[in-house]
Amino acid sequence: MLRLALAMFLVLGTSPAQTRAASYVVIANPNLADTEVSGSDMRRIFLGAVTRIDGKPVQPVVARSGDAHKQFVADWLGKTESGLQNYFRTLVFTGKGSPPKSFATTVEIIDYIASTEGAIGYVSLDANLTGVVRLEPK
Amino acid sequence: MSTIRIAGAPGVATLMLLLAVVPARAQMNEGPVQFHGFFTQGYAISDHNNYLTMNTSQGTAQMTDGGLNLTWQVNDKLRVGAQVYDRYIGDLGKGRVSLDWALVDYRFRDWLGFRAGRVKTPLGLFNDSQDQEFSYTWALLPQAVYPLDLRETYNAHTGGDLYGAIPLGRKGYVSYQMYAGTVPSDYRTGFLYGIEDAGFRNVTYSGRTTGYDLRWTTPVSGLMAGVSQSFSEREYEGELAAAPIIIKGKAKTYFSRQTALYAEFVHGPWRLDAEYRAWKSLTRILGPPPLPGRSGQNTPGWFAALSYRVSKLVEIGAYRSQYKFQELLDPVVTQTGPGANHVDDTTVTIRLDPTPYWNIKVEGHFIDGFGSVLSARGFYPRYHPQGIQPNTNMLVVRTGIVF
Repeated sequence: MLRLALAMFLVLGTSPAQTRAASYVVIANPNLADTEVSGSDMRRIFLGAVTRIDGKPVQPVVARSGDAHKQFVADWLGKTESGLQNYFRTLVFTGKGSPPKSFATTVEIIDYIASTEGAIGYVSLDANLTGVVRLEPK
Repeated sequence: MSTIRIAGAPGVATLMLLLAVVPARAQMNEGPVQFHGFFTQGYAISDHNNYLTMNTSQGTAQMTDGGLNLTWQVNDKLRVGAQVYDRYIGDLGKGRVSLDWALVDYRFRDWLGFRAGRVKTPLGLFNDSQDQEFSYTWALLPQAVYPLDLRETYNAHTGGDLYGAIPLGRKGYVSYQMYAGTVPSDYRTGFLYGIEDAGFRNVTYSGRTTGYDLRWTTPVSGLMAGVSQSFSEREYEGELAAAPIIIKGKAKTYFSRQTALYAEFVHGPWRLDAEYRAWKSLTRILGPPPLPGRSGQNTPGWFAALSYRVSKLVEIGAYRSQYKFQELLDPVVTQTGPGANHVDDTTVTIRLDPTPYWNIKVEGHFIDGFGSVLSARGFYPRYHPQGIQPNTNMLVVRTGIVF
């Protein structure tokens, strides 16, 4: 029974990033170009559990809405849009953290990441990635 | 003092006014200084009993709470902040503004940080976030595990915390919190009303607590599991209410241990939460007869909750929660009969989110049992001069805003 439950969790919990085409790309400031980021790192970075990866400071940047945001949040953080919003609000109202920087448009996200060392975020596939590097989380 | 009475106006009304006049641009949510708040208003009506110190049998809107906080991220390691909280839920809170949390937080490393001041106590899934109704589906959290009337007894502590996150490679990561401190005394809470209804008056008390919380964010997408424990001591003084002369007594709860085992699983629009809470306490009572020499209680509870996000506007859900009461040392005084020594609650909810900052909830509760006068949990003899009925059906409508 326990094995069946574990198998069910593993099937349900398989990251959709591994099973369907993503509508977004993960991007970062060029100073993170050589940094290897795992799926677990992604979760820790965007949920505020870490501030450094491989000794380098990292700063998550999130979109406020959109298809890329929705899919990224589901793929890497295992949450819905409202679930992520509630997670950040819980940090704020328990005094245990602050929400990450957020922007309404792709251009704002890219501009901020390009000009901020350690910044990491995501934008839609068709965005112009000038000034940032593309990451391939494993 | 941790509470402030705002002259000439209940604190809740003041909070309403503050929320009404705070312009959206004053939220300052993109800078190092952030200002946030929330406010909720509810209405509850039940068929028989009065629940959670409210006059629900007649229908009541005396179900209001709110909070405001200000936080300053001084640099990437240091953060300071404070939150005030106010509630007027029946006789709970009574509209006094209290300091909910106020802390200095220094994060040395990702795996080691320190908080000092008044800090929300981590215990199970929702203890430190139980006031944040905007963050969960329900109008009322499962009362078997998160009793609204006992909120102040273990919601926050004044002391110090260590916290951090430890990576486990491909196995996800573990977040931990460890704490020690004193528990603020509050005399507008069900904890005090329960002691008074058990036959005491002029009660004062103080307490201390230590504990930890470990939560594992697993490699399975959306699955988190954890365990928490808290260990508390409390000292009380009071007088026997029924005695024609003043009979003073002292008591010490020298052992009070809560253990929470919990999990959360999110898959697409589905969310499953479950928690088991074991709570055992032993109290020594000092005083002349008829005061008993010792008391011990075992009060386990659990809940399982399932919710489904239908659309951006609509979420539906249901939960089942069960609370049991067992007197360990003096079974002769335990109540018997229909409804005694348990509270089982089956709840269904629909939540509407017209905007990301405003929600409305409609919730039905179907409650079997009323617990025990020795461990009041939602139902108090003082609000039931005709006696408590074994079953309660209740409708709750609650709306909240957050910014």
